[in-house]
Amino acid sequence: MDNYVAIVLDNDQKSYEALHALWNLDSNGDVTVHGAAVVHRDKFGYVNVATKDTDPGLRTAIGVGIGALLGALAGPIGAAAGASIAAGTAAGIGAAAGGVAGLTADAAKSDQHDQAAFETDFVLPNGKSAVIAEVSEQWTTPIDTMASRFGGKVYRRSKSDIQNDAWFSPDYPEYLYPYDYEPQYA
Amino acid sequence: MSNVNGALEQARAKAQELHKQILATLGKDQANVRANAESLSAQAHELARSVKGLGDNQQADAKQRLNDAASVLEGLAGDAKSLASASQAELKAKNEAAVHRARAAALKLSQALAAKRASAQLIHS
Repeated sequence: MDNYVAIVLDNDQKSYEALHALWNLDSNGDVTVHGAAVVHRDKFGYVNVATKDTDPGLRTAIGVGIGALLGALAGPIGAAAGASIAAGTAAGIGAAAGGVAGLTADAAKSDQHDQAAFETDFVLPNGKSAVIAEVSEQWTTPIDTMASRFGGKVYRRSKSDIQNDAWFSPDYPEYLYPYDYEPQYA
Repeated sequence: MSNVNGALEQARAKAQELHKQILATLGKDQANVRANAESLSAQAHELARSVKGLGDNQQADAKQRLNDAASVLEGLAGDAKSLASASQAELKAKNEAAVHRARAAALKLSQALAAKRASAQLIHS
């Protein structure tokens, strides 16, 4: 089954270790990882993607793409839980999450930030880090077991489910790294 | 980096390496990008040729993805070659296009690998 997963962990170090452990599962043939990245949400709610790129344009694009993917992972949970937010506005929420991820705090409008904070909090609470990945897995045990070893919590949505979301863009997973890498924050 | 025991794993590892190399040239000066363009193009072309040959031994799903990967890699070879003659103004956009194409090639090969692994697990179960 093709899935997007978010493994939420207590800190960056655990996320780095979980990223490498995920690719080890791929090397062993337990799952196939198509792409993965590490993200962090600071205590103020801003999401940063740990990249290996220094090009500012690409860093922003990566932030937008992966931030939006994070919103898509929250998807119906966020929409359903938000009594004051209709399901149809989720597109805006996902996009706002991406904007916040890629831009500096003062570049994001405050209302977008509030929406993004609401939505992504279901997946990535303030102060936590996560590994976001696109994977093919025959069963969920390998990733779940690996995540529990690091004290992580796994959120999972099927790729087809996310692709059917009205707000999904095929560009979102474009910025997941197609191999293991050393995550760095700007 | 993934293990490279099988031919498909090796092909994916090479596509991943191409992505790394092209990504590393982003933001570098024109001379550096141009110096690497021919080599990247040749690597992509060679990998496309090798990937085409892998399809014969795979199931339909993996075979289709390998054909797709070969097409993407041929496109990447063209993208990389065009970097050598790109103007300064064109360079960034062309380089980014090559990054996207390399990512797509790695994804197609990864999907083919997943299909192959799923098929093998079905046989063994």
